[in-house]
Amino acid sequence: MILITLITVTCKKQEQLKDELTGDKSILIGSWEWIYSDHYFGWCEGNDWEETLTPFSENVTFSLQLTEAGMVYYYYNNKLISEYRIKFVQFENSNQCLLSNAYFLGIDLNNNESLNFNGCVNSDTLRLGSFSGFIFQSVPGCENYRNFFIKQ
Amino acid sequence: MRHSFFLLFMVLCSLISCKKDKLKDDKEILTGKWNWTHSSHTYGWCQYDPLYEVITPDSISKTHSVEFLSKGKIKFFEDGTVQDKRRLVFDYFEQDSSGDYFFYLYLDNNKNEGMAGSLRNDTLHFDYPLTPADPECENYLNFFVRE
Repeated sequence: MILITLITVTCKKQEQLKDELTGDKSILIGSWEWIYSDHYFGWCEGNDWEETLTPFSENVTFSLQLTEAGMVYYYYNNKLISEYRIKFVQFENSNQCLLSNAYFLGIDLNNNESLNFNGCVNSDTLRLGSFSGFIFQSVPGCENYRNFFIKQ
Repeated sequence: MRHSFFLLFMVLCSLISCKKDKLKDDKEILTGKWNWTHSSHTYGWCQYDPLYEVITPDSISKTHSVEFLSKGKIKFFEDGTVQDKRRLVFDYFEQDSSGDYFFYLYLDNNKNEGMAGSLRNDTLHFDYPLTPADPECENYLNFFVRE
């Protein structure tokens, strides 16, 4: 009985630590350059403002590189600043994305449910909400960002 | 009979507890000593004010290195002195189509001591020496070059 228990525990398949970008998910593979962010803010002051932030207005460049192996790399002013493992929570066809032929994606970076990377993607555009490690972080309930990237 | 099971149990336990992965085949590329050059630190996310800085051995007046041993062990160095020596057990070690390697390992096969790394263009990224106190609010990317 002890032996069976031991074998069961030892041979239990471990949860995958990252997901490879294969099949439909391969649409994400490649370099994505940040082109602009729509910033909705002022809600907590009773306002409803909107501005558009660009690499030119912020004097920075930012890009993401997603690899088949299931990694995402962040580049800030062309310098690699972060790397994370990709773990999908959700990936499905969606017509709620305001992008044509798009997939909704929900990713926990490093398999950590607090490190979000959620949005929509089609063959040339990646749209993300506020996501962990990006140059803009929103105060929940007071503002929001929609960040747009195009494939290089 | 009960005695034999007990002995078998003890032998299996000892085998599992002392497990280590030798650096052979693809993993051989890790073998050797790697010196920390700098770390990229992104932080301030939880203050909604993301910031970025570069930390170097000069800026903290400390050097750090790691040495991967082919027998499946790793040594951690600080200012040239060994601080720790641990067994390596890999969860995965794989290469993607661009030739980069990715791995995740456990020190002494302890699932609470997982460390991620990658090897890209002769640069090693590894979860050492700097790790975020709160991964939800900051991140470090540590860069090493081969000695």
